[in-house]
Amino acid sequence: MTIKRRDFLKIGGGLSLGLPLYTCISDKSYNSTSKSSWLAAVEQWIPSVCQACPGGCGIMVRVIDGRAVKIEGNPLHPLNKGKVCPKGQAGLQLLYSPERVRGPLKKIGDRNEERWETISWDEALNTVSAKLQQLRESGKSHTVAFAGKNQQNTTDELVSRFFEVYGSPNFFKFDEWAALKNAYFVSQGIYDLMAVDLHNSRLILSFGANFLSNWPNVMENQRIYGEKRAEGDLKIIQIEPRFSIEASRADKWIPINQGSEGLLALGIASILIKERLFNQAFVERFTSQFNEFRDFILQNIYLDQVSEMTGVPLSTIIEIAKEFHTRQPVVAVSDFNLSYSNKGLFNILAVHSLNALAGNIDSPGGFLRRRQAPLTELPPVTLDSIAKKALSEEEHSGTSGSDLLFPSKNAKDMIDSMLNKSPYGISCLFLSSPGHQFVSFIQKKKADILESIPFIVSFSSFMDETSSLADLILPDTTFYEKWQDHHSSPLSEIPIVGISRPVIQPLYQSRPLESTLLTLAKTMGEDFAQNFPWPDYRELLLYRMKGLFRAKKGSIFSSSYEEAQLRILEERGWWTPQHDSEDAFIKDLLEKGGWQDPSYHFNERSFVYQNNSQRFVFVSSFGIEGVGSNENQENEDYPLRLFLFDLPFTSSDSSSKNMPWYQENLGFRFGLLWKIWVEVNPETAGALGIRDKDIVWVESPQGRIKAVAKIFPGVGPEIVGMPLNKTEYPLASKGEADINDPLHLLEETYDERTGIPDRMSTRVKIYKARRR
Amino acid sequence: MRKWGMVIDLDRCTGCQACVVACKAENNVVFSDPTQEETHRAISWMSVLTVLEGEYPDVKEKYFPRPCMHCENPPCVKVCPVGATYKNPEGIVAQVYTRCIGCRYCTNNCPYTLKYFNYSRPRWSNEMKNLLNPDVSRRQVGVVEKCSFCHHRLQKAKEDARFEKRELREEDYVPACVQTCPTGALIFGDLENPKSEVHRLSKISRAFRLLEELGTEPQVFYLTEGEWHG
Ligand code: SF4
Ligand code: SF4
Ligand code: SF4
Repeated sequence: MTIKRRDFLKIGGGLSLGLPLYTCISDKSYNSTSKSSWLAAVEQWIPSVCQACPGGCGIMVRVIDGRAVKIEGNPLHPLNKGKVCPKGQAGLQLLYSPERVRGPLKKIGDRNEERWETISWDEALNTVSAKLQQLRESGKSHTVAFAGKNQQNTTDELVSRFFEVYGSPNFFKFDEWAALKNAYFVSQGIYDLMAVDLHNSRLILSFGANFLSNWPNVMENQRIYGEKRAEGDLKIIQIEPRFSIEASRADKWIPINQGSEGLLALGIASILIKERLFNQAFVERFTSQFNEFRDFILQNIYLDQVSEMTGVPLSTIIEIAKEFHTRQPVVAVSDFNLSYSNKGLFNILAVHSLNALAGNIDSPGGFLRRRQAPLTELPPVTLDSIAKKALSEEEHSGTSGSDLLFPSKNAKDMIDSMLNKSPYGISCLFLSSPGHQFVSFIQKKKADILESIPFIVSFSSFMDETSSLADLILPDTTFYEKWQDHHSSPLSEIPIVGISRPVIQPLYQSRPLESTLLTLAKTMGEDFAQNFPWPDYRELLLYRMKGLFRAKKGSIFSSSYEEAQLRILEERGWWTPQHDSEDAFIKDLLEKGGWQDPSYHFNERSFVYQNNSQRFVFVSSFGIEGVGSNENQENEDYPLRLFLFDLPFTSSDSSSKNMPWYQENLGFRFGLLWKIWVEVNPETAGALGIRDKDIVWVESPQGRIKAVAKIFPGVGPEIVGMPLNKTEYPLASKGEADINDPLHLLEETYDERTGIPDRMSTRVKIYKARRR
Repeated sequence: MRKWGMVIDLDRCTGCQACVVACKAENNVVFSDPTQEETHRAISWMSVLTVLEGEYPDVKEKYFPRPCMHCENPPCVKVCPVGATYKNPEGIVAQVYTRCIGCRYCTNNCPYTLKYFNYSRPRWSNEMKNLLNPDVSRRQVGVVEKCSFCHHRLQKAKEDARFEKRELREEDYVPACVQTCPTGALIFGDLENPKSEVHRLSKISRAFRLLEELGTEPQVFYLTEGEWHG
C-alpha cells in the first residue's frame, strides 16, 4: 500500500503508510501527462529525513517506478510539520547530480594531477584494509586521522568507535557552534547548546543571530515566526552590522560596529543593574559571582564610551534595556556569527549574561536544555593492547595554546599541525564532508598537504575539492540512498529521532560510508570485528532504536492533537504504551518516520547547571580584556571592512553547489542569479564612482576577487558585505566555482580562545574592473 | 462552481524561497544559467519580489511572493490567437503547450510579466531527467509557460475523489508552493466558498491586489504588513 497525497495532506491521526517495497531503479521515463501512464505506475511516498543541512527535517519522497521525483515535508515530524525549505526542495538535484562519483576511483600518476582509474570495491577495500593493518602492526595507528563534520547521528558514533578500536585519537569534527558550547560550558558547566523557546518569548533581542535562516531548527523558527506575526505577539530587535534577512523581518534593525556586540550587551547590563531592572530573585538563587560582575560593570562600563565604540546611539541603548525589562519573557540570542571575531567567546558570554539578568534560563519563553533521546547505547568496546597504547598518544588537537577545556577543532590549526608534523606526522587521512572552512584552507595548501600526508582517502559523493586531494575515493551515497538516524539539534527543546531511509537503491556503484566502515571492520581481524557484530548498518540502527521503546516515554510521530495529549499526561508522570511489542514499535517507527518526546521538565537544576555550584556563573574577568580592543586599525590602503555572511539555508558543507534550483535564488534580494556580489553603501559607492551593477574588484592584502557591485543602504559607509557559498555556475565542476570564494580574502587571524577564524577584521578596497 | 484563489500574508513571509523552489521541482521548470541571466530569459513561475526602502540605517524591505494572478479578467487570454491560454470554469488561467504557437502576444500583454517564453530547449542532463514529475509535461522550445496553480494536482485530486466515489474536498487540492511555505504565508482555497479561509481573508481590510486599477481582477490577494513593519 502506498500513501496518497491527499492522505498525507490531512495531517490527521489516521495516517496510514505502508512499508514501501523497493523497486529497482528503472531508466524508464515518462514523456507526457498521459493519465494511463501514471495510473499504471507505482507511486510511493517514502518517509525519510532531509540532511541537506544539519536540520534533519522529516520528509516524504515521492517515488514513481523507482525514480524519486518530489520531496514534501512529513506532516508528522515535529520540527518542520510538513514543510520543507528551498534547499530541501532542491534536494533531488543532489541525488541526481551529474557530478556524482560513480564508483571507487584510484588516482594514477602524479598526485597533483587528477587522473583517475575506476577500480572495484574489493580492490578499493583491500587497499585501505592493508594500509590500515600495516600501520597498526608497526605501532602507527595513531597517525591515521579522520576529518568530518559534526553530525547529530549514529554515523558519528560508528566512525569514532571504528577509530577507537583501531587505535587513533584523531577523529576531527568541525563544529561551527563550538564557541557557543564553550560559552555555555563556562557559564553553566555544560558543553552543549541551549534551546531557545521562541514560541513563548515576547522579545527576541538578537545579536546577529541568523535564527530564521541558518540555525539547524530553522524550519521550527520559521513556523513560529509566521504564527507569532499573525498573532501580533512578537517583537524582534536585530543588532547586526548588515541588514540581514532577520533584520528585514525585525521590528527594529540596529546596525553595530563589527565585533562590538559583547560590549553593547554589557552596556545594556549596566543599565539593568544600575536601575535594578534585573530579576533579583533569580540572580540570588541561580547565579554566582554576580557581585564581581556588578562591580566590574560599574567600574568599567561607561555608556557614552559603549555608544561610541559600538556605534549605537545612547538613547537606543537605553531603549533596548527598558524594552528588555518590560517585555518578559525575553531572550538575548547569539550564534556562530559572533564567534567569527577575534573576541568571539567574550561577545557570546556577554550576551548570555543578559539572559541570567532576566532570569530566563530554564523557564518558559527562555533558554531550555534539550534531553537526550533514550537510544540504546552501543556496547562498550574491547580494545587490544595496540589500540590502548596508541590511544594514549597525544591527539592532534589543532588548538595549540588554548586554555579552554573544550577547545574547538579548527581547520587551520589542525592542518598546520599535520603539516608541521607536530606532535607527529599523519600517515593516512580520511575525509568525509569536512566543511567549507576546511575546504578553503585545503585549497590554499594543497601542495603542502600532498607533500606531507602520504595517503588520503575521500568518501565524497561528488567530485569536489576534497576528492581532488585523494589517492582513493570510496564514494558515499547521498542521504537519500541509505539508512541513517538523525537526532534533533539541541537548539530545539524536543528530543526527536528521525529515521532516514533509502528512498531508492544506491545509484551507480556508490556505497554508504557506514557499510564501508562495517565491511572494513570485518577485515581487520577477529578481535577488531567483534566490536562490530551487526550484519549491516540498518541492524545497528534498529538495535539503538529499541531503547526508545524500552524507555517508556515519548512517542512515535503522531498528530498534533495526540502530541498535546501525550505531553500533558507525561508531564504529570503518566505514560501509556502504544505498542505491545518491540517489533510492532519498530514497524510503526519506520512507517511514521521517527520518535519524539514533547514533554519538558523544568527545574531539574543539575541538568541545566552542571558546574560545581549548580549556578549560572557570571564572568567578569574571562576575556573581558577584549572590551575596547576590538578596533581593527584604520588602514589607508584598505579603507573598508569586509563583512562576510552566510546565505540562507547554507550549511558550511559544499553540497549546495550541486543544487542549481537552490543556488539560483540566493541572490533574490538583488535580482542576481549566478553572480557573486558585494554590497556597498550608497555614500561609499558615490565617493568611489561606483554604480549599481558595476563589475568591481574587491581586494585585501590576501588577494582579490571580482564581484558585481550592489548599492545597498543595508550596510554602513565603512563596510562592504559579501556572501559565502554562492556559486557562479549551475553545475559547478570542481574548483571552478571557488576561484571567486570571498574566503580567500580573509587574513589569517583567529579568536584567541576558540581558534575559530576571524571573519571580521579583514579590510579591503574596491575598484572598478574593466568590464568582464 | 469553485473559484480557486490564493491569499498571501505579507506579515508572515520571510522571503525564504521555499515556494519558488517547490514550484520548479513540481513543474519541471529548468534551472537557469549565466547566459539566461544576461539575456533575462530565466524562468520562474513563482518569484519573491523585493522592495527596499529608506536610507541607512532606517531601511525597510518588503517581500512579495508572486505567482500568476489568475486574473478574473486576464489580458493574456484576450490576445491569444489560438486559445492556448484560457480561463477555465474554476478560475484557473491555463496554458496548453501543445496548442501554443509561440507568438508571445500573451507574454507582452501580461501586466505582471508572468509569462515565460522558452527561447531554447530546456537542458536536462540525463541524470536529472530522473527527477522530472511525470504529471507535468516537459516543455519544447518556442512555447510559453506560466504558473498553473499546479493544475495537475487538481486533476489528480478529482480522479482520486471519483475513484473513491465522493465529492472533491477543498483541502484535497493544494499547489506545491502553498504546501511547503514554512511560515504559512500562502493560503489557498475556494474564493466562492463562504466558509473558506481564503474567502474570509480576501475580504478583510488588510487585503489588496496588485495593479488593481487595471481591472484585471487578480484572484491572488495580498494582506499588507502590520504595524511592526512601519
Ligand atoms: S532546513 Fe535543512 S533539513 Fe530542513 S528541509 Fe531545509 S535543508 Fe533539509
Ligand atoms: S515559502 Fe512562504 S515564507 Fe517562504 S518566500 Fe514563499 S511565501 Fe514567503
Ligand atoms: S497575471 Fe498575467 S499571465 Fe496571469 S492571468 Fe493575469 S495576465 Fe494572464
